[in-house]
Amino acid sequence: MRNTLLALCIAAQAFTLAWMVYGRESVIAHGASVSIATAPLDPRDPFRGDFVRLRYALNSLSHAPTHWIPADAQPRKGDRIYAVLQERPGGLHDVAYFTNVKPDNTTNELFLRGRLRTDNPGNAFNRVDVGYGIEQLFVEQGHGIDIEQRQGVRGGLQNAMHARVSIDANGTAVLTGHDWNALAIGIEIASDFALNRGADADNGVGATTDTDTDTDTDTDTDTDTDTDTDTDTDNTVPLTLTIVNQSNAPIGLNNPGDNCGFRLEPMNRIISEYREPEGICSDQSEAPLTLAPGEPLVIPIDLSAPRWHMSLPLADETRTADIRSFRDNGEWFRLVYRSDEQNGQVSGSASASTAYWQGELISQAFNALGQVD
Amino acid sequence: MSKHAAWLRQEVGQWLQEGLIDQTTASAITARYPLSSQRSWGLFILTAIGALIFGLGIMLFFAYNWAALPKEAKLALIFSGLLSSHGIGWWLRRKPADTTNLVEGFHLLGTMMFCAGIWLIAQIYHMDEHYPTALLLWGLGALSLGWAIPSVIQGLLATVLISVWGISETLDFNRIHLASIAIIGLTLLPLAWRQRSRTLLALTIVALFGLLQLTIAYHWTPVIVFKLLFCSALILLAISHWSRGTQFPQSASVLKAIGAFVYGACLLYMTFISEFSLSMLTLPNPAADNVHWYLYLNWGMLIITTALWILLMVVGRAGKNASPMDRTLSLQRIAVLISLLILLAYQFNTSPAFQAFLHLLSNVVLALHCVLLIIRGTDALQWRPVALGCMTLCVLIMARFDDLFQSLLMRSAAFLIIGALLFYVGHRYSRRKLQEQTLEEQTHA
Repeated sequence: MRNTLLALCIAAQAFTLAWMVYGRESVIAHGASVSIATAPLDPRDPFRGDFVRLRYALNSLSHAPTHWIPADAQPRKGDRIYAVLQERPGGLHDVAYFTNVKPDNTTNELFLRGRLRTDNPGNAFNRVDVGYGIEQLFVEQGHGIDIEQRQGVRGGLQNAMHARVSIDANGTAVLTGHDWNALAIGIEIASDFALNRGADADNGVGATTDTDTDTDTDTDTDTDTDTDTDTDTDNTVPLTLTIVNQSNAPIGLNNPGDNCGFRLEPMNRIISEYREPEGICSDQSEAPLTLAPGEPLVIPIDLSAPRWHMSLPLADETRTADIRSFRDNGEWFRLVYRSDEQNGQVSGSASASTAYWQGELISQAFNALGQVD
Repeated sequence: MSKHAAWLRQEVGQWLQEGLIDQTTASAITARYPLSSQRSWGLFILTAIGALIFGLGIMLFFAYNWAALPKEAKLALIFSGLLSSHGIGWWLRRKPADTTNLVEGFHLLGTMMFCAGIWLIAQIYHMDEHYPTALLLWGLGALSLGWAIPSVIQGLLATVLISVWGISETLDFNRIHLASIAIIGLTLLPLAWRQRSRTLLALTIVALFGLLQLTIAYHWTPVIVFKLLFCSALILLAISHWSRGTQFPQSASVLKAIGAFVYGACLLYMTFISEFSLSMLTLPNPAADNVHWYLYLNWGMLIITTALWILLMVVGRAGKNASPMDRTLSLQRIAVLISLLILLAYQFNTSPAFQAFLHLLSNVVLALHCVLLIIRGTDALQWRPVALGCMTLCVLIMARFDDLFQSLLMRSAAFLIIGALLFYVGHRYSRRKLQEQTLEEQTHA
């Protein structure tokens, strides 16, 4: 009797391990395989060795709309959250919306099943609100730092990692590998980035609300504006954006007009009140740009130019100005290239558009004080 | 016991050589006190530590995570390690020779391999799951083997793991967690009793104490934690009295040690007066907190404990012909009951003057306990109660240094009295020892 009991207990230990393996292998074998953009960090686990901690945009509830059922539901720490995915240009997947109710399998929507890790989602910067069990990539000891170096450093070029994930019909995800974006992106902040405000700069903003932008289609910015700023304007460009082709093949980008392939946007697009002003980069024709392997594209970003101004609704009016001139300096911004939504201005033929590199490039976040995330 | 029997065998051999006793008497004496057949605990602990460290080494080996090693090879290694460790333990079990330590050592290694397997699979599949679940799985693996072998060391490991699981769920994930308490109380405590293991009994009781108090304090209210601790300690002390008559009489010493330690600490706490300590001693304000279930728990524990101790005093009262030690024990029980009544009195909305009186009374009760411990220790010629009584008395005097003895004269008097008392204790202990030796010599003569 005791021998039987002992045998059962030993078998239970082996069965537990086998069940863990079976669960993951069945997801890998039968699940859908997707790629999701991620940013790695490199800590170490005492039992499992080196691992890279992965951060996805879909970890943050502020990244996409939420469809709570009922509408006034307040999910709490530990509750199930489902991130419904949509495919983006370039084959990457991103979250379309979050919900607290499991999506219907009949709709063929691909979704990730996660759990809320905090009671105050979205209130802190760069935190994980929702975990999906794919936030750790284990690597051979010493190789975590290689991944970090490939990804790049603050203030330098950064190459986005794409996590390969298998997802089954219940939203269970298994991280199966990773690859790298073909383009690296970097921003350089000038030492005199911050505005040198005048003594009367206590109006909340140093610019008038009506901006008259007259933009040439040359890549060099040549704008006339009647903005009334208290800034010291000199010839130094506050921000420089660099894109480098890190693949072995030429890559085409669509960058018409005054660098209208790129846009300035707040980091938390869902909750931020900053908006790109209407009319910027409108009526721009397609402008192909080809980057040879290893070739960099350097774009000076003159934030004082109306092309890069942002609008912010204030108490009595909406003001449009240089982001550095707003008194509220707590906002973080990024420069973004998205092949599918270049300010809605792409008017070329479908065949021409598909020749461009498909995907999105997102720079490191920076704020109006010149700090970089 | 085994140590004493070995000593006696040496002495019997000497007596036989010197002609003090004959062979028949020597055989009768050695037969009366046989050498214990219990296992060698030193060897067992070494084996257990060896298995634990070896298992940790294997886990770290896999943690290196060679990229060149395919996952199939890693999985094969971990499954073969698990099955071979348990398999060797199984094989040794069937051997006629006494290999208990090795059997338990290999099964412990198997449980460590089970843990290594959990982490390795998590590593292979990059799992970032709810980490306390891994502790639960590992703990359940150890628990099941603890009953199946049966094994104290698996039980100890399971107690630690289930406790860490409960603490993680409570502190890291803010969950009301009673499952860990239930598992320890319903499966590991009975295992300790079944195996007659004082070590496992002590660990499970401490784990239950800790998890219960942590859960109540973290999720509901800290105001009843002190009273629950106090009552639980007295309940343990009361149970220790009755557990002597059970099939596991050694449990009495464990229950008594834990109960006395917690009770002493609680009583010392009651001698400090502050707003915070009063908030822990008094009843939560029903108007502010409504009448929650914990108020009923508060009163329920106090009433049950008081009833239990009154029953204990009635059952165990010292008769007219009782020895001085029994009388001292009775006095100690009276002191415990008084301290319980002091705590009960705090539950009513008492005036500051009455609270000050209760505070003073707490000091007196603790001092009385110290004196009774010293008397009992010197009567029985046991140095531990004497030392404990003296040290607690010194702690009490130091605690009152600021808030009771404000004048230098009072402080001086307190130190003089305590110094003189310690001298007297030492003198009384020596005199008692001398008396005992003289009595023994007279008996031999």
